[in-house]
Amino acid sequence: MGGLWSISRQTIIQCLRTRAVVVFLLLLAVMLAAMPFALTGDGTLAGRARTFLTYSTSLTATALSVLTVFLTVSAVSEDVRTRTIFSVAVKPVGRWQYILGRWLGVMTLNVLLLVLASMGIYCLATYLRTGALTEAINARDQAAVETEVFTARRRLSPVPKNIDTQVLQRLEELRRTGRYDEAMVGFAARFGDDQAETELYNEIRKQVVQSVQSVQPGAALHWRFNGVDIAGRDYHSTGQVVSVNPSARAMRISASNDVIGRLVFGGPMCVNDVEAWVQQSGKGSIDVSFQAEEFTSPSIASVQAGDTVTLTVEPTIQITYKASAATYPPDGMLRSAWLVSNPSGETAILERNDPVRQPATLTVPARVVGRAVEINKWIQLRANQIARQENMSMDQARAQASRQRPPSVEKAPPGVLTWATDVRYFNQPNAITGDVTSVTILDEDISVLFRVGSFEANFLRGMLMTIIQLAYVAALGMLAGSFLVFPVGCLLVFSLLPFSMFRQYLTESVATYPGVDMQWYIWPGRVLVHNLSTLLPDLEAMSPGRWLVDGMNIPWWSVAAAAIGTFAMRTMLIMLFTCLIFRSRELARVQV
Amino acid sequence: MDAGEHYIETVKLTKVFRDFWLRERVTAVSELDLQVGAGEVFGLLGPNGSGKSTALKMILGLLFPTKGRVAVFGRRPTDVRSKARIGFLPEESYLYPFLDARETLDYYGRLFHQPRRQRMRRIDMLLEMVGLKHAAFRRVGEYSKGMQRRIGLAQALINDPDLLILDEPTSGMDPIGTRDFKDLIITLARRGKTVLLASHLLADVEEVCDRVCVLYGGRQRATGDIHDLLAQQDRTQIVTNRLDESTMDKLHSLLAEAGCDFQQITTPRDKLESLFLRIVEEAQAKRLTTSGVQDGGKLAEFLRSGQDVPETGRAVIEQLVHSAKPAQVQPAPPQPIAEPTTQQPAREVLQELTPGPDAPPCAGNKAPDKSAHASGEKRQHQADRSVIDDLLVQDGDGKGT
Repeated sequence: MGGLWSISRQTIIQCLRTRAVVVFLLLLAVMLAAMPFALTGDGTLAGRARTFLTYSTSLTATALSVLTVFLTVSAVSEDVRTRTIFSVAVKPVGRWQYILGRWLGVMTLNVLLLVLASMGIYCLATYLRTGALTEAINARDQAAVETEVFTARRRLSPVPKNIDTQVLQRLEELRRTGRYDEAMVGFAARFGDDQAETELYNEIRKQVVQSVQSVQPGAALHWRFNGVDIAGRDYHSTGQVVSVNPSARAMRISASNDVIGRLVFGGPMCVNDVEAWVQQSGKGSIDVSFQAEEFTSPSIASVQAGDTVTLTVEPTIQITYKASAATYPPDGMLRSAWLVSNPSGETAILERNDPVRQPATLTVPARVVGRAVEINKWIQLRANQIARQENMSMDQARAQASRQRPPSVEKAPPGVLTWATDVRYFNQPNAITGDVTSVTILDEDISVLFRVGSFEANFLRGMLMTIIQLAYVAALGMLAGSFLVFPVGCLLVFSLLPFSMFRQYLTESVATYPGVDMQWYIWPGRVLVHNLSTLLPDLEAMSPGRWLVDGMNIPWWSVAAAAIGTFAMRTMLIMLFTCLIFRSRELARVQV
Repeated sequence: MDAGEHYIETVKLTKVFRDFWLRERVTAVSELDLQVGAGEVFGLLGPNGSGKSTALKMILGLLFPTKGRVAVFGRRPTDVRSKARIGFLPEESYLYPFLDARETLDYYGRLFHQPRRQRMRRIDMLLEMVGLKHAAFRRVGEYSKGMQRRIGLAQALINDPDLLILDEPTSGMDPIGTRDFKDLIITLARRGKTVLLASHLLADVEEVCDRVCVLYGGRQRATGDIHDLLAQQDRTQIVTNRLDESTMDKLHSLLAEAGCDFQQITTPRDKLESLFLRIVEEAQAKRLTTSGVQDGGKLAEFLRSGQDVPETGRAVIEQLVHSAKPAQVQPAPPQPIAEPTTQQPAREVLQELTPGPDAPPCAGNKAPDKSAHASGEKRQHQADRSVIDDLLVQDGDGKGT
């Protein structure tokens, strides 16, 4: 193994002494350093942080990938071209050791550079996170950057709705009205007799899906999310009391961004294990208020300015959604009310006014505060709708709404927690004009998110994914360099990489659709794209930027899947091929 | 390995180069049968394009034979156990230009899995030997061609190889380097090392080789002991002090009486190589500065003795090592190791003994030295190049009287 390490060590020295590499790295460093100042995103703190994380991680991955291709292809091909391989190949080193040593050298350098770049990105992102470069930051900005960017959240999609009955009903309706045969003729003309029935069914299913994802004014959409596992995710920290206001039963506590970022404005938290309510959170401090009983409890009553208190923040859940409207509202905003409840009977209600077709995020305490007043709010809201729709008196409507309490609000049996969360969207009239419109929220446009880890650990996993990507690219470069000259080798790798980087897009672009005739000359391309897409890994899916930008957790199983699928299988297979090719190559070959 | 066992053996070794379409274009080597035994200095001779380098590359596993078989130490050339005992100097020094001399040797030393201490000691010795100690931290890319050859030689010797394979070893070297290089080969041969060298510089080959193989057009034209090949059995050469006219007349009449055909009388003159070496040595003695190669040539201790030992134990170990060498490479009595300081007196004596204009070109004033060291009494026969000249069209002026 000594020879292998010697070769990899020598490769690192070679790379670091190549002027082009140094210039390349300096450029990367300058660009990374300039990014936080040059990129402002949408102007908000979170937007700025998102933009920086997206561009910095993708720039680093791309730059290192390009560098890796050049270094690996040249590592072998240049040794053969300049014949320095003669002096190495006659030493007691197996050819596989030479190939593996070269690859290891480039990868060691990659790891080193990625660690440096990651440290740079992390430091710059942390600097951005403090808001030092953003002029006006409000509490919402601060909370957004902490809860939506510098976090690691798991995303849950809603449980698919069972629409089979509705589809069958529509089919029955078609048959009953005598339009079924007419529709079949149309579909047979488009898709052929064999496919006509299936396609008709699919079309009806699509219509039903669309209809259940749209809501008329005053009505509600409902989704259920399973697996909102927030148990044991309380965050514990400490803060220093800045001031105490006994008359308002309030305190101002200076706390870290980690604490502030986890808080829900108006939501609960614990100070010295006593429940308090967050009234306001600003840069570096929070204002909390207590109920009379809690404020006089011994652990709070004795607190004075300057004391250190323990802070416990309950986990929160977030709902992100994107709504479209049948009629575009004059101010571009859609007013809505949201009811979030869990099987243990706790409910939160929020009123929102969010822009059309823009992603919006709601944050609620994960326990979804189960106070009577919240239930009453829901009943009042529902009663208003019923009164409007059914032309009832408010008393009657309230009575009916009370009977219609959503099933999830009912208490789950003791000891049984399904971690299910029900989310309801109530379509409200526009806040200014009072106009009403039909609103559509597709299932893929709504999800529940909750924090499952820290940004730092997530960032680390992201970098691991990048290392796996680079290992694969390096192996591809070694393969090309083992039998091709430098320019041709680079060309080959850069021709193959798109199949890995835009795999999904390419696969979709050559997909066949029933009823659509494919020209004969399309087939070779389709076969090529299809097979290469299967052989090569999906590097786009492994790109950490798309996870980090939304503060999405990169699960360990994703890293493991990449490590097995891309590294252990594809990369090692390519390396094996490379060793076999190089072993059978005549290094002093003269082409005549 | 037994003395009789072959370090290198090729059987019907053939190499055909093909073009991109796999059509046969050039037969570089054809049915080459070689056996190089332990302790031999074997020369592959031939004009440019005769297949010398191709043959060497097949022996080293850098090319694969089209037909035939090659074995090095009884194994495949690509076997790492074989390669651990080989030192190779290619026709040009293909080194990493971004490494300095010390790093270069360190890298190659590491490939032989040498312990750090041994590696460092050998690097110091080799740098001193090739005269590059002062340039040890300059990048190899900045070296002159000759300096690169020297560092290339040093890397070939880092493992104290049992088999040294040299492709055009003296190309690009100055006369001092060439001289030192030939001394090195002679010394290694005395230690029982095997050397295979390919060259078209006939003087170099003649001076150091025991056996040669002459290639032309990829085919083996002549193989055998160099003295058998070169000896002119029907001529005699006498070397003496300058003779006055009367003595010359007597000699003429004596030879006429004996029925000898008197062919040529000349006055010996100094050789250009001798003149050059003397000038450089004088400059070095005055410590004139140079950015190029400095006084080297002092053979690395581990190459002399085969051990990385301190100075004190050298004599004892050298004695032991010498006594263990195969008989055929130890024909001459023990001599001082070839190094400029200790060898100078011997060199001067040898210069006097050397027949000036009649010696083979470039043989230099050390030829008899080699004759004494490496080839024994066979070298006392008058040198001629009839066989080689016939094949390689050399100048015939150098024939002895």
